[in-house]
Amino acid sequence: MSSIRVIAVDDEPLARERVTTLVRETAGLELVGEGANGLEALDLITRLEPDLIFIDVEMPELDGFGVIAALEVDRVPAVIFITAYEQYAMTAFDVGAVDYLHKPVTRSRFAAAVERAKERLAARSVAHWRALVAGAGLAQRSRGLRTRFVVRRGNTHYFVPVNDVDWIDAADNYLRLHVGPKSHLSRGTMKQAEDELDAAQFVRIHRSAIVAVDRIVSIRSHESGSHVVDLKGGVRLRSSRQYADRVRALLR
Amino acid sequence: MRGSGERMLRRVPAPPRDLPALLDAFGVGSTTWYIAAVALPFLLWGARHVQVPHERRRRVVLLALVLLVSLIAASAVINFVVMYGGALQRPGLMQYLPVGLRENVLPWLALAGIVTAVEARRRSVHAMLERERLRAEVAEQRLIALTGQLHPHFLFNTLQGISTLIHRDAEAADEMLAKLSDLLREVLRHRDHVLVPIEDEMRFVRTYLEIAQLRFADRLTFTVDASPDVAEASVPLFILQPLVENALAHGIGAQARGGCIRVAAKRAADRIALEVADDGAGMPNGAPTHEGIGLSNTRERLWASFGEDQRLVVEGHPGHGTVARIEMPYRRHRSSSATSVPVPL
Repeated sequence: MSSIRVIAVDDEPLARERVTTLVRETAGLELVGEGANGLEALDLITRLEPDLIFIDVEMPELDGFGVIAALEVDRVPAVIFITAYEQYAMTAFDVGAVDYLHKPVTRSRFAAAVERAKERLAARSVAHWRALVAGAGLAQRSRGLRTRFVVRRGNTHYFVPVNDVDWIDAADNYLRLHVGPKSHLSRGTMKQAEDELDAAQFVRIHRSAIVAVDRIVSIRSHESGSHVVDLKGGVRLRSSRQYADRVRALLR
Repeated sequence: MRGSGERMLRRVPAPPRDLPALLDAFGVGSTTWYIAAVALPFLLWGARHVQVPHERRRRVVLLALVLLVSLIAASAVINFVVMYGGALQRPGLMQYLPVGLRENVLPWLALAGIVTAVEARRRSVHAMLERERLRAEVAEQRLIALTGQLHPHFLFNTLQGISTLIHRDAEAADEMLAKLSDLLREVLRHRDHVLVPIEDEMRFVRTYLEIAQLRFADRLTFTVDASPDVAEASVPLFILQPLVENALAHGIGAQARGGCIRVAAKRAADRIALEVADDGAGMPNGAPTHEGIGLSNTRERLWASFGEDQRLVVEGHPGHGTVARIEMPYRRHRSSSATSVPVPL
């Protein structure tokens, strides 16, 4: 059996070194990369397509759950979360991680987690990957409103702050975020986006359109029950009847 | 005294044997009782709002007595007028006095007794509740202080760091362990304190940052300075820690190039300013959508210690970092030695 390709992500070099040391000491594991934050983790996963990642849950900016939630479904590694917090253990299991390790990580516990990962990798499935990504998204959502989107261009990932977004439409499994003349693709569905965004700031006007309330210039109602919504920058969108209530609420 | 009593007895009918007559003898049924009943709520209200500072006690008692006597006199006069106002023959003062006293003094005395008892009870219950509330508040403050200062995140990452170093550099592991012990000792030493000398607070922050420096390797530099004129100040225990934690997370942890944290304590007249600045990305200005638990804890604790007389401002300078500043009254630490003020219980 070829060795399992591993990356380790932790924002603290010393904490990460503990994991990388253990990975190097373990037969059958090959350390292919290490990252210091969530965006680096996404870049590494996209570029290196590892089999297994050890990732710290609590990292500034983009945490461990956020990283998993932003993954492309067709390449999801097995995940072992590492955390200083007792309470994330449950979440880690709910999300569908292979295992979680408490800091400080002990050798025996590490070995046990690796064994579980081997079993999991032997039976990997797309359905499982989907569940993992969706679970991480849920965990992410339960921790508050979204403040930014993770966007990928090639092998690099970056943030687009929610406040910068003018409007959003759907493109297959992606959200197309319109920021001025540019647009960015971020993984997710309209339903998720609607749930994750501040209802006072964004309103869904169509099955495949969400607009930033403060970008709206005018709303004209149409006799069919729909509305024509004009945004700053000359974008004209049409709301559907299904979402007419929400548009009407804006007019009040 | 005895003579006059006998004389009074002679003028009133013999002690009645049946209940209605007995009640009548005590003035029950006289208009005074009705006036007293009407006055009761007002007197209760008044008693409730009277504040009795210790040094003014005698004056308040005297005033209450004067009020009582004038009430009795006034109602006696009213009674007299009501009873004999239109009568052709009015009794003399000496004849009216025993009846008047019986019918007027008793109700008002009883009333004064009731008001005093009710109010005394209310005040004692209130004082007890207040004591309980203070006790709970102090306990809560202490709890917030303790839960605020050592995050599991900090503790376990440090332990993880030590466990890393053990295999690579035993000396360094030793050093980190010693620093962590210093920090824990500080926490244990102050577990019963709400206010501590600023010197202790600064030492705590320094040790905390030294450990962080080991954890973040070469990515962190810091300074901790207290100007000499705040040397005797007292500050809420571990008040700076959440701010430092924030600076670490958003100022240093968030960027690969690392950064610098500056902690300073300065004095301006009767105020003291504590500042934690980082040179990170700088929190976007404008109202942050939500504050971390650390910051809201800090606000709560400042509020509990100083009420309105304090400020916590977090200013982001995008591209240049974030400055968190606490302003609060300068309080001198009570003892000149380095011991801290125990919780007043």
